[in-house]
Order: sequence, then structure tokens, then C-alpha cells
Amino acid sequence: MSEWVVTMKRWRQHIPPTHLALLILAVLLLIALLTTVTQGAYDISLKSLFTGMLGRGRLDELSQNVLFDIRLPRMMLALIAGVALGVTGAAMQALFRNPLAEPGLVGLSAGASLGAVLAIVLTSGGLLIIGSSAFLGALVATYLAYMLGVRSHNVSGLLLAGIAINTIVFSLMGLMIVQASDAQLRDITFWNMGSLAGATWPVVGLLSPLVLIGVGLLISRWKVMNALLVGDRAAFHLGYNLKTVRWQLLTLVAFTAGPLVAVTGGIGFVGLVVPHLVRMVLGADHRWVLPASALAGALALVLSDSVARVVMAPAELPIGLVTSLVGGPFFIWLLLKGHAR
Amino acid sequence: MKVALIRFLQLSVFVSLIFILESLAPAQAQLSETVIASAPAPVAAPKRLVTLGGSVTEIVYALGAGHRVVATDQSSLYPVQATQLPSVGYYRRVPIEGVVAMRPDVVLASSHAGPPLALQQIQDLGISLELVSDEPNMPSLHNRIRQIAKVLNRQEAGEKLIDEVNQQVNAAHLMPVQSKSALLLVMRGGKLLGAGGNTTANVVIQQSGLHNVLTGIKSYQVITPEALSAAAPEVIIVTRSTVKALGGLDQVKLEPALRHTPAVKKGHVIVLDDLLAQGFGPRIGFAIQYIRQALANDE
Amino acid sequence: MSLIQPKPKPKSQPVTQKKHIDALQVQSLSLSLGSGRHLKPILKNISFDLPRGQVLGVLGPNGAGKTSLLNSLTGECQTQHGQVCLNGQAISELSVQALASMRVVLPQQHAMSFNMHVSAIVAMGAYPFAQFSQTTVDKWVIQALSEVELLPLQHRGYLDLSGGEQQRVQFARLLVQAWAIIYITGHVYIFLDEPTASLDPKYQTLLMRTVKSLAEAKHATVFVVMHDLNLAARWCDRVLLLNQGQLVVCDEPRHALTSARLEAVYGLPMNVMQHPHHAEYIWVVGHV
Repeated sequence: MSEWVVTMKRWRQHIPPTHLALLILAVLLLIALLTTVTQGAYDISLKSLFTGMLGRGRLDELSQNVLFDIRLPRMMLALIAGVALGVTGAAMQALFRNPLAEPGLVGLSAGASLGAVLAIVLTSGGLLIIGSSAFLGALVATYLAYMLGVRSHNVSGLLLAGIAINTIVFSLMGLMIVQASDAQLRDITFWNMGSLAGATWPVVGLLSPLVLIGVGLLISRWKVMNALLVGDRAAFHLGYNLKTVRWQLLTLVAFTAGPLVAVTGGIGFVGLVVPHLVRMVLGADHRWVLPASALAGALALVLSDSVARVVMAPAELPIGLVTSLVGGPFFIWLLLKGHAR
Repeated sequence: MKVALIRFLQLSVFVSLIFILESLAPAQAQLSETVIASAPAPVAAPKRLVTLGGSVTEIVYALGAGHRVVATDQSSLYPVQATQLPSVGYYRRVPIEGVVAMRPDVVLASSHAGPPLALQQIQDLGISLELVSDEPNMPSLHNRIRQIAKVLNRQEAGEKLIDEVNQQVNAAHLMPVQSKSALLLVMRGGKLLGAGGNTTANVVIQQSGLHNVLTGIKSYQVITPEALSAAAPEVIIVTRSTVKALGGLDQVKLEPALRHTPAVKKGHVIVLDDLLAQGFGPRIGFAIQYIRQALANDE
Repeated sequence: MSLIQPKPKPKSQPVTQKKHIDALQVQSLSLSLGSGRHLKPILKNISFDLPRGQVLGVLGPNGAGKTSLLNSLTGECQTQHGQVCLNGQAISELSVQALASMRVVLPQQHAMSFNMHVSAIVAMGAYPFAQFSQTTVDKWVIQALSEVELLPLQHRGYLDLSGGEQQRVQFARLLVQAWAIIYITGHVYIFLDEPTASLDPKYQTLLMRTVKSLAEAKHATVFVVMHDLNLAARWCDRVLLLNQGQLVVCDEPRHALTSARLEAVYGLPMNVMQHPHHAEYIWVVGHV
């Protein structure tokens, strides 16, 4: 292990092959997509997939339907969610200048959960109602945290406001939970663990443009994020109005992560660990960190979803559980190795 | 810019792949967009069944079709054979691929199964899905048995089962019982919770002829010792797993919250199988008999 | 050093559109910090002019208000009274972006949250200017790093460098921004807060010589806070002596830094001597 670390360090000191790294990530992602398309409780072998493509054999109708209507939209959702989680995680870490930041820190996930819980308990609603409610909750919580935190001149105000929002929200949720029936309790628990099961082509079609626009705008703001890293004063000297910049970044994060959390529930650790790893390898220049986090996040989530679908077949694990089970210990390992700078 | 180009290329490759695959697929049969309701039952007896919901599973076995079940959900705990089958997980969060992977002829689902989208997609894939009524009352139980019997093409066995259930329940109701105040306790997360007015356990209590003192609360709640003393139940029903968790019936009777209740003082503490206590299935008659018998024995 | 040529002025432009006052002008600047009863005056009624092409050194004991003065001039600190004008425009009326395209700042301390590569940090000097292509910026980054003799370290992580090297990287970033401004407008205001504090004599000289030559070519006007009297005297056209928020004197070094004045300000006996070989003065703290 330590040789790998030394090689990494030496690699970083030389010309960082950032373009190469991005290409490698993209190729890995493509490979992951091609392999995981065959993974699932339902058996579709790669061979039958290719013979079907070449027109020689044929996938039976059920297999085709499972592939196109169930598995592919789910993989697309994993792709999009991974991209969004990676980029918003990196953006939050730049905003807070802290490697431990992620959208949950300002109460975004808490607000989404509260919205979802309210919808589950007060209505008998389906995904659309729960999703919209979660989105609104995410926006309200984020802006509340911003309004409270903007008075202070640095990000600590935002952080404290986020903590306050998280606390309030979880107390309110607790009140709801106490009143909930058993079935509702289970639903709430599963919501909090995150899932990609709601993926249909209409949902993916609705979510993709929102998320891709948000991610695109965030990636284009790489200079701003770099400027934040050198401190508030230096950012000011470089011509950045900090209040405006923070507001914009926060809005973009809420806009990107809000609809996503609304559909998938809370998927943890991806936004935290992926940008961290990327920075370890490529350095902190957001010009590379952002696109790399997008690709790596997508890779992580596509693979996690594959695991979630296969490991307990025919049952499925909530994907948030897979990311936590893998991400948690991995993050602890990172901290112990002293890479959490 | 190179970065954006790479991502765009990768996305286009993936999208083109999808289009290539689509073009090779035959025209997909248009399935009617049915609102989730009963689909017409196949005439022949279905060979492979997936059951979602503990009561549904129990009835299928009771009708003698248990050997046709290929997968159930995690709440299907009776009979014991059902627990040895592959499980698709929580029946309110059914994984589509998991169910379809079992290649069932029919999916028999409790009306509480979900999410609705997943059930719809299973039907869209051409798999017959039957939702059965799953409320804790006798009419629903009758309906449930009939619906399942119809799907399995075992209507005679269905009627027989209904008769058996009715006989058991009637016999149970003939047994004398004094209308006493009662509550049902389960242990969750190290705490004792009481069953409130909207639980299935409440129905079991009422069917037994007792009066649930906790009808005012919803779901399962922690009951404070003061509230328990104020409620002063004359009968306490505990589940078997609760007794085990507390280390025996004597330990239950020594619980500080319960020690001074009339139920414990008079020895009216009934231990009931978990599934019987919290479910309304074919064995409801047996559950009621058990409770009334236990009370009679204690007199 | 003139690898950076300012854009030539188009000939069709009329000679003067409005009265360009090519200087840094400070009028009656007063600053107090704190509130209510704890209001503490930091700067008291400071006025001076700094014409283009000059290097002004600001000296004074600790707590005299030098850094506060610099921060007031860069736009970071709002003053209660008085005005600061760059090229005739009050800085209180200039936007953050406008300021960034007129002046560059090297503060005393630098923050860096994550470990970025040196070249990425130096490239940030070009961030206020969207019009330059990445190749131009990369070229400037290399020139700036060569200027501070750090080119071999361009792919190192910033946090892996020594204090002096980090200071030079920040100075390289300042150079890139300064060159960009010079390219667009022909002139830049440079504000330095104790830039030589962590540098050895070689790099002290290098830094001061760089800004001095920019000033001599009339491409820069320099305002530098320092501690070292001799360094100030060697490189500055004028020095401004500050004591307890008040301007004591603003003049050429040999006129301003008399031993009587220095003793009064620093409370230490100060000897002014002539260099045995060169026509320079040396200031030495006397025996206490």
C-alpha cells in the first residue's frame, strides 16, 4: 500500500496527466456500464446481449423489456445521480474550504427528508408527491441556512446555520415519526437509505436536463471555486464578490442536488469520498477536480447499484446502504492515512 | 474543452448503443395500461407463484398450493417452509427485477404491497399481478381467500377454508369471556411499546372480546409507567419474542412498569405467538380461542 | 524584462477625454475600528499623493496602522472619513471587479485550504480577465515562475513548499495579474504588505528589483509596507512614516528618516551613517 502512495506522490510531483486521468475514468465508466448492464436479479448474459445485437440470436421479449424498461433507465439514473453527487460534493467542499463538506451540511438533505416524510405521513402519495415535497424541502432548508448564515463574513455562519437547520428538521421529523404507522415508518426508513428503484424513462427524462444543466454550470465555475480556496481576502483581490459568489454556488448546488434527492432519497458518502479521492490524485485545481468527480461519481454509483441489485437477489439493497457500507470504512481509512487535508 | 468532448463522446457512444439495440428489437406488444386491479385469472392453474404479504402466503399454503410458490417477501413467516424460499425483500418496496427474475406466472400481492409504480411495471412486462384485499377484518379475509382461490383455480378448497375459519371463529366466540380491559405489548429497540387503535393487534384484541385501553393512541408507542397505572389493564398480552427478550414470563411480571397492574397481580398475562398477535389471517379463530382459553384457565 | 508589451493606444483617440489624474490620491483618511465605547481610532486624517511610477515605502512601529492603511487603499477596509482615489476615481465607487483590473495586492498572510499545484495558483492571477487564452496565461505563468526562480517546482503542491517559496509563488501570481493589467491599460497599482518578511536577502532583492523596474518603466506605482529601513531606503523613491495612526512624514528617505525622527517614533537610538563605498545611507540601531 505505501508503495502505491509513494508512486502517487511522485506522480503528482511530475506533470500531472490530468487529461489521461479523465480519459481513463471515462473508459472505466464505459466498461462499468457495459458490464453492469448484464448484472441484476434477472439473468441476461452478455453473450445473448451481443448475439441479439448482431442479429443472430434474439433476446426473448421479456428479457428485452426488462433490459430497456427496467434496467437501462435505472443505469441512466445511477449515471446522472453519480455525476450530480460528485460535482455538488466538490462544490460544497470548495465553498466551505473543508474536505468534509457535502450538500447535507447546509441542511439540504435534511430539508429533503423532512419534505419526503411530510408527504409520506400526511398524504398517501406516490413518487411524484414525495419527490416534489422533498425538492421544496431541500430548497427551503438551503435558503434558510443561507439567510441565517449570510450575516457573518465567512462560511462558519453558514455552517452553524446548517447545523441549526439539521437539528430543527430532525426534531420535526421525530414528531412525524412518533405519529406514523408501522408501514409509514418502514417507508421513511427506506427513503432515508436512498434507492434508484424509481427510475423510469419519464423520470430520467425529466431529471437529466435539470441535473445536467446544474452540473454544467457548476463545472464552468471552476475558477470561482479555485479562488475560494486561496482565502476570502485573495478572492476579493481577484475581483470576486464573495456574497454573490456564495449565493450563486449554493443556488446551483440546491438546484442540482434538490431534484435528485427528491427522486432517489439520501445517498451518502459519494459526495464526500469521490472529490476527496480525486483531489488526492489530481490536486485541488477544480478545472480537473470537477469533471473527474463527475466521472468518478458516476462510476461509483453505477457499480454500487450493480452490487445493490445482485448481492441479495432477488431482494435489493437500498443503494444508500451500499455507498455507506463501502464509503464509511474507506473514509475512515483515508483519515487514518492522514490524507484528509 | 477536451474534457467536455470526452464526456460528450462517451455519452453518444452509450446512446448509440441503446439505439442499435432498440432497432434490433421486434415491435413491442402494446400492453393495456391497466389501473392496478385484478387481472383476469389464467384458466389453468398457475405453476410459479410469487406471494407478497404474510397473510397471502399463509393462505396459498393453506389452500394446498404451497409447493408452487417460488419466492415470497420477508414478512411471510408462516408456515416455516415459506421462510426457506428466496425473499424479494420488503413487500412495500418490491424490486421489479427480483420479482421478474423468478419468472412467475402470477404474482399474488397484498393490497398494501408497493410501490405502485413497481407493480405497474411488473404488469407492463406481461406478468399477471393480482392484488388481494388485506384489511384486518372478516369480510376482507373472506375476500382474500376467495380471490386467491380463484387465481389458483381451487375455489372449492377456498370455500372449505372459509368454512373452517368461520367455524373456528364462531367456536371462539362461543367461549365465555368477560369484557375486560387489555393491552398488547411488544418489545422494540429495548423498549416496551403498546399497540394503539389503528393496529392489527387492536383488532385481534377486540375480536377476542376484550377492550383495548390504548385505542386513543396511534401505531405502537412507548407507554410510561404512569400511563400504564392509570390505564390499569386487567389483561396483558405479550408476544413470544418479547418474553424471550425479557428473559422469561416471570421477568415480564417483574417489569417495574407492569408489576402493579391488575393484570399482573391477578396473573392475567397471556403469551401469544408474534404472527398471531399482529396478523389477521386464516388462524384468527385459533388466536381468539387461545386468548379466551388462556383467560379461562387463569380464572 | 519587457516581454509584456502594453497594447498600443489607437491613434484616433482624442488626447484627453477627461482629466486623468494618474496617481493614487489619499485625502483626509480616517479609520476607527470597534463600536460604541470601544471605538479605537486606527488612522487619523492621512493625506498624501503617490504619482505614477513611484515606489512608496510605508514604515512605522508595530501597531502604527500600516496594514490598516494598506487595506483601506485596496478597498478591503471601509473608512469612516476621507477618500482614496485611483486614477481620479474614488475606490468606494468602484466595483470589486473594477478594482481587480486596476490594482494587485500581496497580503502578509496567505490561506490555502487544499493542496493545489503551484502553476494553478499562479494562473489565478489571470482570473479577473476573461479575454486571455489559456496559452497566453500558461506562457505568463511560466515567465512569472522563472522570474521568481521557481519554475522547477511548477507541479509541486503548494502546501509542500517552504514559507519563502510560498511567498514567491504568491508574488508570481501577483506578477501575472499585474502583467495582465499592464497589457490592457498600461499601468497597475501594486500594494505589498511586508513582502520580504520570509525571504532571504537574495529573494528580497529580486522581488524589490522586479517591482522597481516596473515602476521605472512607468508601468506600475508601488505602495509597500515594510519594516526594514535600509531596504526601504534602497528601493523606495519616498517613504511614509506612520506612528499611532498619524502621518509623521512623507519624503525621500534621506530627508525623511532623520535619526531624531526615528528615535521619536521607535523609541530607540538610531544612527544614520554613510556607506563607506557607495553614496548611500545606512540606518543602524544604536546601542541601548
